[in-house]
Amino acid sequence: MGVVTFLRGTYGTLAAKILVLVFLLVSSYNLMSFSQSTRDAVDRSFSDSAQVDMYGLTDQLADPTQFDEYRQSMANIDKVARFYDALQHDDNSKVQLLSAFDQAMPVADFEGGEEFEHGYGTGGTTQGSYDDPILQRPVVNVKSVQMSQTTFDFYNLDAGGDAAIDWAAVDYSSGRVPVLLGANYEGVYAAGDQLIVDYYSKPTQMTVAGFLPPDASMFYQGNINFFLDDYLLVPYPDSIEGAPAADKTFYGILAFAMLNANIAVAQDQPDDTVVRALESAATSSGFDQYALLNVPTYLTQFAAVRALVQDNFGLVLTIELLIACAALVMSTVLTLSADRRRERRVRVLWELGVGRRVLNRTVLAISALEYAAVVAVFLVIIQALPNEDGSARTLCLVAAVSLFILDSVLRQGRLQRTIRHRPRSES
Amino acid sequence: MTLSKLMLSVLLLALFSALSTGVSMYTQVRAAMALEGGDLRTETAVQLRQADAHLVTTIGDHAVNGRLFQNLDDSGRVRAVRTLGEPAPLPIHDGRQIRVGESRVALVGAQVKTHGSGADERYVDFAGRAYRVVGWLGVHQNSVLSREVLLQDADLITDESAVVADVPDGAAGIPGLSAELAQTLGSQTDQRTNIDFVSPIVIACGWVLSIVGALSSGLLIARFSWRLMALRYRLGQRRLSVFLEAMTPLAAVSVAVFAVSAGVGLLTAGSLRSVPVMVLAAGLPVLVTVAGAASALAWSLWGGNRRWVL
Repeated sequence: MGVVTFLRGTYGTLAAKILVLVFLLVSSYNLMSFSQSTRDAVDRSFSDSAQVDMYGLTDQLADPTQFDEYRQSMANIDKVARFYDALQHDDNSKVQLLSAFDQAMPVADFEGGEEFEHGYGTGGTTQGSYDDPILQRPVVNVKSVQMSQTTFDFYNLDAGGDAAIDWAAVDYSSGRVPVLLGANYEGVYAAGDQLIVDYYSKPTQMTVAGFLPPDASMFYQGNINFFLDDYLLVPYPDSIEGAPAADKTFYGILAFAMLNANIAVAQDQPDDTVVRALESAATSSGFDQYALLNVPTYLTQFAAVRALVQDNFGLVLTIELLIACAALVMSTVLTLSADRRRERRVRVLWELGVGRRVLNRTVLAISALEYAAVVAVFLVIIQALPNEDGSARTLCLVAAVSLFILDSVLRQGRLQRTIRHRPRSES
Repeated sequence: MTLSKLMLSVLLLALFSALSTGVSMYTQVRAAMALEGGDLRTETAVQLRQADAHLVTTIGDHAVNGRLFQNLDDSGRVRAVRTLGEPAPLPIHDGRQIRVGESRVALVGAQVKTHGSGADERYVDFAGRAYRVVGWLGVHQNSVLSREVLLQDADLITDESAVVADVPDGAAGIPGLSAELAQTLGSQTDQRTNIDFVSPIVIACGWVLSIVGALSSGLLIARFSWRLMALRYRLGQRRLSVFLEAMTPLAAVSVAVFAVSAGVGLLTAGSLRSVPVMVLAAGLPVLVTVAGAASALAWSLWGGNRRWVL
C-alpha cells in the first residue's frame, strides 16, 4: 500500500504546507533568540539597581592658575585623595561614587586603525602619529576612559566577557598598569601585550589584561549610549592617598581626574543624602572646593532607551503572533484540502478490503513525511543563521513534534469517519 | 460556491491581506524606532570633517535618498537637516515628515518650547527666525527625542562645519566621496540586542508567507467552484460566461476585503502611515489570490488537459 498513491495530486499542497510550517518555526526561533537578547540587554544596562538618581561631581577650581597653584602642594593632593576615599568607602552614606574620565591617551607604536583615534567620529580631525617628547617615540592619541571599580561594576562592563582585572592589585607607583581594551581591539592586540603609554606625562607600561564584551556601554557626559568598543579602559587604583611626592605633577592631575564623577543614589533615599555625604567627606578630608550638578538626563534616557529596547520586543512579538496565526490557519486548510482529495481513494481501498491498520499506518506515514521534511528544512535554515540559540532550537523542535502529534490524531479521526460514512453528496 | 465556502474564501483573503498589512506596518515602525535609537541616523551614516563638508553640501536634492545633518549648537540637540530624495520616515508621533526642498520647517520633540496661535500653528525660533513645526519627534511622546530640534531651510547647512551624511550605502552612496574622507558612526540603541539581525528575517518570513499563503488560497478557492463550472460547461454554457460566473463572487469579496484591510491599516498606522505602501501591502495578497484562482480556472477551461472528474 504505497504512500505515493496517496500523495498523488497533492504534491503542491504538501510543499506549501511544509513551507508554511518552516516559516512558522524559523520566525519563532528568531523571536525566542531575540527575547533572550532583549533580556540580556536589560539585565546588563537597565536593571532596577541601575535606576538611580544621578548627580555630577566636579571641582570648583575652574581658573587654570588657581588649579595649578592648588596642585603645587602635596598636602592639597592628599586632601583631594582623602575626599575621594571618604566618598568611595563610606558605607553609611548610601551613595555610589562613579568616577570616570575620558581623554586622549598617547600610545607608542600604535598598531590599530584610525577608528581608535581620539576625535574620530566627531567631525574633527584626528591628529595621527606624532613624536612624543616624554616617550621620545612616535605615538598616537587613542580614545581612552579611566574609571574606578565601582563604576566598572555599576555598568556591568564585564558581563559575559573575560575582562579580568585584579582591581586590588592596581598600583600606579610600580609604573605598570593592567588595562582592558574595547571589543573592536580584538585582533589588534592580544591579552598579555605591553603598551608604552604617556599617562599624564608619566611613561607607563600598560599590560592588556583582557577585552570588554562587544557593545559594552555606560552613561557618560549625558549620553547613555556611550559605547566602549573602540576604547582603552584604564583602571583607577583604589586610593592614591600618600602618593610619592616625586610624582607630584602626575598625582596632581590624577587626583582631579578622579574627582570627575557621577554620584548614584537609590531613588528611595531622602533628597539630602548626597549633600550630607559630601559635607561629611569634606569635613573629614579638608577638601571643600567641589561642585554638585544635577544630572536629570540619566533617568530620562534610562527610561526612554529601556522602553525602546522593550518596545522593539513588543513589536516583534505582535508580528510573530500574526505570522503564527496565518501559518496555522493555512496549514490546517492545506491539510484538510489534501485529505479531502484522498478520501475517495481511501474509500476505494477500504471497499477493496485493505485493512484498517494498513490505512492508519499510511496516513501516519504521510504526517511523518511532512514533519520530517519540515524539521529538516528548519534545521538547515537555522544552521545558516548566525544567532545560535540551543534552547530556542529545542523549543522549536518540541513545537514541531507537538504539531505532528496533533495533526496525526486529527487525521486518524478523519480517516475513521471516512471509512465509516458513505460518501457525502458532492457539492 | 456555497455560503460556507464563500466565508472560508473571505477568511483566507482577509488573513493574508492582514498579515501583509501588518508586516508593512511593522517595517515602517521598526525603521522609525531604529532611527529613534540611533540619534535619527541609520547604520550607514558617515561623519565628514569640516574640510570635506563641501563634498555633500552641494549635492542635488534628488541625487540620493537620505539626509544631511549639521549641529547648530554644542549640545547636538539642535540640528539642521536637509532631506534628499525620499528617505525612510523619521520617528514622529504627530504631524508629518519634512519634505524635500521645504524651507523654514521643523520637527521637534514634545518638550521643546514652541509658540503660536493654535495647536496646528506652532513655531520654534532659532537665530532670530521662526520655523513652522510640521511634526513631533519620537514614536511616543516621551522618548529620547523629546528635546531634539530638527530645522530645514535653504542654505542652513553650510560647509563651515562638520556634516553627517546619512545615505543608504554610506560613503559609497555619495558621488565623488571616497571612503577615506568619511568616519563611521556607532552608538545605536539597536546594538544592545540582535534586532538588526532578527527583524529582516521576521519581515522576510511574513512577506513570503503572505504571498505563498495567498497563492495557495487562490488555488484552493478555484477548486471550490470547479465542479459547478464543469457542470455548466457540460450543459453547453459558453466558456467565458462560465468563467465570469465563477469569478464574480470572488472578485466582489476581494474588493471588500482589500478596502477593509487597507482602511484599518491606514487608521491604525498613525503618523507613520504611507498610503501607497499600505495600499500595496493590503492589495498584493488579494491580487495574488484572485490571479491564482483565475488562472487555475482559466487553465481548466481553455487549457489542454481538462481534469473535470476529480
